[in-house]
Amino acid sequence: MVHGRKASPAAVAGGPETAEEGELALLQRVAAGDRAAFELLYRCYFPRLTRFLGRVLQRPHTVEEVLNDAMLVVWRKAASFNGQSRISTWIFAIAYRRALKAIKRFDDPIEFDEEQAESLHPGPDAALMHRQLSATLGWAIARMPADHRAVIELTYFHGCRYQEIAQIMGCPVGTVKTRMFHARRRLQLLLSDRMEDLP
Amino acid sequence: MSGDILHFTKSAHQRTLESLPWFLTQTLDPDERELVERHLRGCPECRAELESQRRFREAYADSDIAVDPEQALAKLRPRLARTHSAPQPWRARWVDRILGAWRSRPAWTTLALTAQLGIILALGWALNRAEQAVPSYHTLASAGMPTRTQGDLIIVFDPGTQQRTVQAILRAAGARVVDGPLASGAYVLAVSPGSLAATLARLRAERGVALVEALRTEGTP
Repeated sequence: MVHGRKASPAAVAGGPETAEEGELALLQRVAAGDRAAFELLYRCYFPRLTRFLGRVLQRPHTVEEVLNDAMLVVWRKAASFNGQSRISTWIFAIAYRRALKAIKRFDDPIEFDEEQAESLHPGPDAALMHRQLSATLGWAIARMPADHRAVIELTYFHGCRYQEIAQIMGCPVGTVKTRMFHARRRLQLLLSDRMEDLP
Repeated sequence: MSGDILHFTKSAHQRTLESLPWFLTQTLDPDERELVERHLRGCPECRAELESQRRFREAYADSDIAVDPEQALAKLRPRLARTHSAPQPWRARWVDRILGAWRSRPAWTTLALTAQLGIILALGWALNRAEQAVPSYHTLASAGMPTRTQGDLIIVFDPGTQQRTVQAILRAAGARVVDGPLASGAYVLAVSPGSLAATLARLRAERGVALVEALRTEGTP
């Protein structure tokens, strides 16, 4: 699993089999109660989990709490990892389940700063349009169901294969494709009014 | 090939539409990718959709969540200590509860529980025989799991860092990638003998590096 569009890792380095073994070794140390290994694993996953949970939860103030809950499960259950999926898939599946539990508890509206989206900083035209498009997408994504947000995030940002997404979300691969298809259609509907002036 | 262009079935078109996000991220299996490529050559609608998704993805990748990993980890540390240490008292409490319930049981439950125990033992014996025929899998607690690869440093780049910036950082630091990307997005680096501390400090000062840690101390293999 990679950061698909930026810093294309495949172009920088080698094969996934040895890479997976490296993470497995780290997780083995975590399973043995090695705190330093856990903190290294935590820091490695922190940027990606923060991003993923931020998108799925849509409530920035809850990201840290849910992320820590998920990593606490990793700490406690590391010995039960059975190698039937990639380690990242296992960790993201835990984070996704914790996020869904958290969402059920929420009774507050989704946080989205409309003013921030509207008040764009001056700059070159291309940069301005890009920021405007990003803000509009943020507005639209905040209005989608959590499972649609998750499949979009895991596909476009984290570069997950649809088979991995099925494992993370605990559903058949056909469901992943269908969710993505409907999510795209829903996005197009939401954006149709706002996209007229955007590239 | 023209037959593929002129005689699209609806399901082939639909399948391509559904697969486009993963075609874009280059994560389809080769045979599936080939099917999409063939369909795209003859379908302007899917090509337009692919272009739309490409623009969407470029705008979508911007990240706006700012959480400090060290502050978050500091909040988690006390919970780690509570959950990983001293499991014995927890077990002891449950043993006490079970023994207490057993001692205060009504007389008739002895017979019922004995019969239940017999059934459980018989089922357990049958299950055990069935499991012996099924291939087992290993958990991390099992012996025989693979061991780690060699390297001096582990590094995570900021998600927004461009590929050419990554390459420039590594060249300037005299480090080379020996493993990765790990599933977390991290890489394992090797550095020249004797330069571990200096390289570590240099990489930590680089913008675009989210995390870098030594995998060994200077002078150890």
